[in-house]
Amino acid sequence: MRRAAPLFLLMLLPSVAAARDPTIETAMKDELARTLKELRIESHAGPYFVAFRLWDRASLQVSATLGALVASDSETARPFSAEVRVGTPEFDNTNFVGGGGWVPEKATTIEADYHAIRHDFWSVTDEAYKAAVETLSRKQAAFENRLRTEGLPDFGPADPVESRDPAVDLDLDPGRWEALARRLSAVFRRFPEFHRSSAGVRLTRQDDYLVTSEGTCLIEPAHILVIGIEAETQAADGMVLADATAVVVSLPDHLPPEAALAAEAEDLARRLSATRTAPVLDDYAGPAVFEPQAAAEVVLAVLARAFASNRPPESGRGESSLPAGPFQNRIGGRVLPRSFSVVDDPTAVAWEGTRLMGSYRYDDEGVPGRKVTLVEGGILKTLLTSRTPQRKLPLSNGHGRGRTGRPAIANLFVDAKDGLSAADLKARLLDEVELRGLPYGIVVRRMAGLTPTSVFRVFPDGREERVRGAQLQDMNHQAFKDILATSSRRYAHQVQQGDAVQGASVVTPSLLFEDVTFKRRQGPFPKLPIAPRRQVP
Amino acid sequence: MHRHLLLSLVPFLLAAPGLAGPRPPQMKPAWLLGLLDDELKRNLAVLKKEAVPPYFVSYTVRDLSADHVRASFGAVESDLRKHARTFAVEVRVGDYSLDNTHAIRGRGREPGYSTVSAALPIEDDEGAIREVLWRETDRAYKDAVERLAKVRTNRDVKVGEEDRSDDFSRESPERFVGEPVTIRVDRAAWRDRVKAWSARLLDDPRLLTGAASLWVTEERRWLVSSEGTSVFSGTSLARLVIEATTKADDGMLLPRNLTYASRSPDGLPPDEEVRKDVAGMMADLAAMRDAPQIDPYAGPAILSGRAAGVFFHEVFGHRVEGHRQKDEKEGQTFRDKVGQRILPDFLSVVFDPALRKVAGQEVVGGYELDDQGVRGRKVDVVVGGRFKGFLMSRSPVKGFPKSNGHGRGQAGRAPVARQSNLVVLAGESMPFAALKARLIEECRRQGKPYGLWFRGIEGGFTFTGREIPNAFNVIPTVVYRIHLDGREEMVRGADLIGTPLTALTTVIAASDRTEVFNGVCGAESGWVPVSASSPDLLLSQIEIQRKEKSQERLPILPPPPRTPGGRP
Repeated sequence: MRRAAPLFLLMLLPSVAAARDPTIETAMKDELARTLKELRIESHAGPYFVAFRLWDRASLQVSATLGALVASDSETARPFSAEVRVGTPEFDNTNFVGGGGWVPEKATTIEADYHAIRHDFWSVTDEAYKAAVETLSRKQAAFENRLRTEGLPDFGPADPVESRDPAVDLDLDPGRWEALARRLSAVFRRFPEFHRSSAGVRLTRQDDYLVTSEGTCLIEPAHILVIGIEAETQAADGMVLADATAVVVSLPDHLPPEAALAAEAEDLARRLSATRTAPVLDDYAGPAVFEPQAAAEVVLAVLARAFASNRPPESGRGESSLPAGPFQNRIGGRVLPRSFSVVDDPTAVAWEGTRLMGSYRYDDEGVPGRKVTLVEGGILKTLLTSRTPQRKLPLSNGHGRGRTGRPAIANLFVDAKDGLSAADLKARLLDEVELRGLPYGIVVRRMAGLTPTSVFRVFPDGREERVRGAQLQDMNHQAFKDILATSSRRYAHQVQQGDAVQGASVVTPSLLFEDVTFKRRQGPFPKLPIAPRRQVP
Repeated sequence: MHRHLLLSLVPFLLAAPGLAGPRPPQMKPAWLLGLLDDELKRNLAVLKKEAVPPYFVSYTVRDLSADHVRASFGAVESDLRKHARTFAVEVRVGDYSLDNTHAIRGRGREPGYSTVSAALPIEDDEGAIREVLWRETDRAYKDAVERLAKVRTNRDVKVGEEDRSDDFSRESPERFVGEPVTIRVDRAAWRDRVKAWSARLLDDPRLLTGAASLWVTEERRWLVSSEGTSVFSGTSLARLVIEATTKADDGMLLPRNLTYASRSPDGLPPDEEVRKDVAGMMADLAAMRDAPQIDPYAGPAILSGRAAGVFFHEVFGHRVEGHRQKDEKEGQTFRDKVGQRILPDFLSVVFDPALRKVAGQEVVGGYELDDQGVRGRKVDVVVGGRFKGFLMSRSPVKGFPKSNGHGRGQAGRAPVARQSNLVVLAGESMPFAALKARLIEECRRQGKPYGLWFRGIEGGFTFTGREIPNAFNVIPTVVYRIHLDGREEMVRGADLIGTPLTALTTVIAASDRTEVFNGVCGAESGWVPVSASSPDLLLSQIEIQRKEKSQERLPILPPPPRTPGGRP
């Protein structure tokens, strides 16, 4: 019994740690080494940069309606890719419109098979290298007779990193989640006025592998659990109304108790049921308060996108056809009121006791995630960057995320001085309403993307009335310059963005915008169901 | 838009929306049949009072469970089990002569227009199931009313149609409760087998891809209609595909595959037989790499039985699918050929859903009732070279007012006329050796230095529409030149070209042995299992062009070593 480990030693190990088979890493490294040493076509240079990526993924997806299971899918897969750059960091085969075509996602073996993994990387690298050589010569030809106006390099520098975080052991047995989906979806049995409803669970456990020719070797576990609840109905005039909510956490242990989840479903059902019979909002232009969840959705859809700068590829035929982001040329200019500051911080793990979904040590290009002050005193300081250099932004600040390594937010903190209490914020709204001579102001409590799902008019006497059919019109970054006031309390909104396991957080106060336009939803709407439904207890 | 028809390797499992853990509990077929019938009647009773009442409603539920394992060069890439239920509702307004499914001319195709479908709970929960039936019926009814108005307007503003047949045939209702098919799959054993077969492909380092895939599916189907049809049936299918590609030194990509199908995994060939076939496929691929490229050729050729089956399925079968004769965008190759000679008089072609075996081999294109609840009937399409009629769904065409039980489709798609078990029958035949001698004789007569022998053919795309030439493209994989002295020489890079009618009319002889091809066929109503059987056929005239060569060169580096630190 010499091999048996003493009990106390086992107890010291973190409960989530799982053994990780070294086969994948060895195979990737060995094939990378061979690639760097030997891969070249006579008369062309070999690659100056190669990155091998592999996502070792197990996931399950469950959905149910009215207490009955609709689907329960489990999958294990290992998609992988090879990034090959030829030329020099100043001028290589990327950032070019005529670049190589889209490469379909390939998957390698789900077994610990050294040869099979190498074989797949070998074959994909061969294709990627040939395509890179071809693209580079096309790009050289396109730029032969003209000077690149910007002269931006194609690939920014980064220090190599080596890190292996322990694997996380997640129970992917669908039984528990099937039962949860059934129970949450059964809440809607008490709302026969709905036409469609569902509750679903998506759980993904993944190990992200990144091995590069610069010596980077990263193995990072990623996991996400999303509980999605949605329902749809029609108002008496036929207007289709839908609402959805998602609880996003990184591990099952972080889930709120089931009673809280059931309450989420119940809240959604009550909201939707009340919206169904609410009056329709007329066209409106004026002040509006976006309460935290709604504010976070607007920040996510408008600001977060603007902060994630994206360099449009060049065509060699002058201007790129793809537009640059709205903040691309605004660094140094005011984009928010003077009282605002905005920070994106992947290194933040929690905020006021809430675990944040956008935390990571290294981004998907292997660059350490750095805290970035985006806005100070209302002035735009910089943008989120990846290793693709931008004008005035030559270096990555560790925000290259997802499979494409495009810049994206991690944990975005919107902060403003002089926040008001809820009552004062409402009073401030009503002041503005009075100033503008409007009959009422608007409070948006909840949004799903840029669709308001819970909207109230607030009358000068303080009375609130739920309305339906309000559509946001022309909501863009300009509106953020004219925020009149904020709440002192902030809220953390957790979302899943981009790839399956890419989380992000937005922490924001409520926002009172000076000018928001809501357009009444126009018909004709679909007729109501003709036959009544058969109620089943 | 063109219609792509393809006898393919792609499994029909692809279309199923979900994948699940445990096999479904044994469902009581009668319970769901009763529920469907009740909800249909309840909805119909209300809709009947509307200004535009439905004259026909049908509900179909298809419950599909599937196991899939795929291994590449000895390593498993995926291993899954799927389970999903699809509900499809068809609502027809107007009447049998003109209804909402009528083609609207001057518009693009609307795939699956007459069927509304949705995922149905996989658990037998009355409330949850009724909600989906009710909601989708309402949607289908509204779509139908809207479309009928468009159909009527379209008919008023366009010139008269050439074919004024009804839109829906009258059929007597069927009541049938079959047995659910339950397949036990020994997953671990099959996983090992699939791994082992694909591992054999490692022995040739010049193979670029090499994989084996197994699909085992079982399907339960419930169908009720307002005409009184009430059907439950179960089917199953096991398919094994082993595929590999290599490259010739000049960069030409050379693919080859083995495909097997049976109603049960037990019906697939035993391990030793598959191993032998894999070895044969590898030998073919190695020989193909070194084989000379083919020269453009027009002259006599032999199609092996399997190749001829695929050939008939693609160039002939798709053109005798009835609904295509009505669509004025279609080529309608055989519309005015009824009673005429279209093939040599010693050839006949039948489609027979009742067949379970041909020439002692299992065929998988059969069924008792089609997906419109009509009994599958044997159809003599060609008798003694003369064209007799079409494969019919419930969409009538001129001269063919009734279905012959060939309305087929995958879960969630509106059924259309599709093939079942195709059999080419030859009234006169000879041993293969004699057929080969006859080929040489024909070469001499035509002054050709050699003839061709197509041992393997894969289904490609067939275009039956009018917009582009009515051409076919079946892909020859294993081709030999037969020299006048009888010598066989493998060649590569053959691309078949030509027009179907001409190719078909040049059959001059057949062998006395029949080969079977089992596969799944994809078209506008989705994937359905089919078979095609034929003797070897000698054609006096076939046209070949040289396949466009890939410009991609061979891999730059040799394959990696098998073990860390090992040699390639």
